[in-house]
Amino acid sequence: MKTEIRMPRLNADMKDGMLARWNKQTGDAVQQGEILCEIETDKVVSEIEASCSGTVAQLCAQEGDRVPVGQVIAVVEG
Amino acid sequence: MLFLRSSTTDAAVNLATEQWLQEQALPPVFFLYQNAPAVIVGKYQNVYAETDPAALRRDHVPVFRRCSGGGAVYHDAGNFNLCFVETLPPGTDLSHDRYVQPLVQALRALGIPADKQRSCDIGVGGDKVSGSAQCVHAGRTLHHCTLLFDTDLAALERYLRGNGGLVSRAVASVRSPVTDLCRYYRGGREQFEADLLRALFPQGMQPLDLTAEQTEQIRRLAQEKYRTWAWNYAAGPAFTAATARGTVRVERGVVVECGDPACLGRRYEDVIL
Repeated sequence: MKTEIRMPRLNADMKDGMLARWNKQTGDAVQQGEILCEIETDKVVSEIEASCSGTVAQLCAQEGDRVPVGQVIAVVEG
Repeated sequence: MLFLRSSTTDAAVNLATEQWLQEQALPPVFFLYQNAPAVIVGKYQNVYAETDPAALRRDHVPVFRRCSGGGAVYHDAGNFNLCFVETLPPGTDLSHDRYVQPLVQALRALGIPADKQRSCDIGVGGDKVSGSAQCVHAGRTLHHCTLLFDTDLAALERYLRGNGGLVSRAVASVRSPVTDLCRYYRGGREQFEADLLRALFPQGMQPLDLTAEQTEQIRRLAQEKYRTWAWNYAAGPAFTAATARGTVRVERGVVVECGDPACLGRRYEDVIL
């Protein structure tokens, strides 16, 4: 089953977030709760956890990209 | 609320203390410190794009990278750093207001006509006196802010002189006109600190006493992370820059592409300085 990981909304005013760093690459195994990436928005650096266990099937943004809230940033297959 | 007052102006130790506090399962903590002259950059910034490396080297002013987002700032003993660490319920709105608004009210209680600026700054008379940033790690939120009391504003301008010739995907600082709070407050640093603490925490706080073992953990973290070139300089995103030796590509702080083979493998600052 494929699970989409989306850019979260960290506060009411947030419109997008910068994908600051990937901790996983395509093909890597990931456990639920493991840190998938870090994002930065409005001077807040926040960790994004994998919501399920599996294999990273796709990274949909590059480091430095600004991604709108709700847009898919990664796909985990497990 | 627990209270920890730093006894050092060593930025490496104070940044390590912040990280250590965030990694502990403690009740809410307020940590207050000042640093000796230093430039502190955001976690995903490019040191070379935000600072004047030649001026920093000439004046022996160190650079440190913090764990939160945002832009580059200059610290000295005239700048108070206020750090709040707590565990917030999942899904809590990570607005800066939770911390910025009480600080605005505390400054006003001291007779300073402070206002919130942008989403996370505080200004007086339109000039910035405080900037905030946050990081969230393992469910613990760390919010910290500067508070310019009698900082050397000329030094701030001297060291935070960015290099627009760099092509980088790093987070860029937002420059703002700044001022010092001492223009609006009759009293010195110690009096200001005491008055500010009373206004911010009228119900008082409980001191947090660190054990020798905890102090040693912080010292080790400062040594192994916050005093290293690898973290402070090289941890920023890759970039391309025009130099006297031609265009160079820099990854992890080291030149990986350059027309001059003598530059390859060298630290970027050693190529440009």
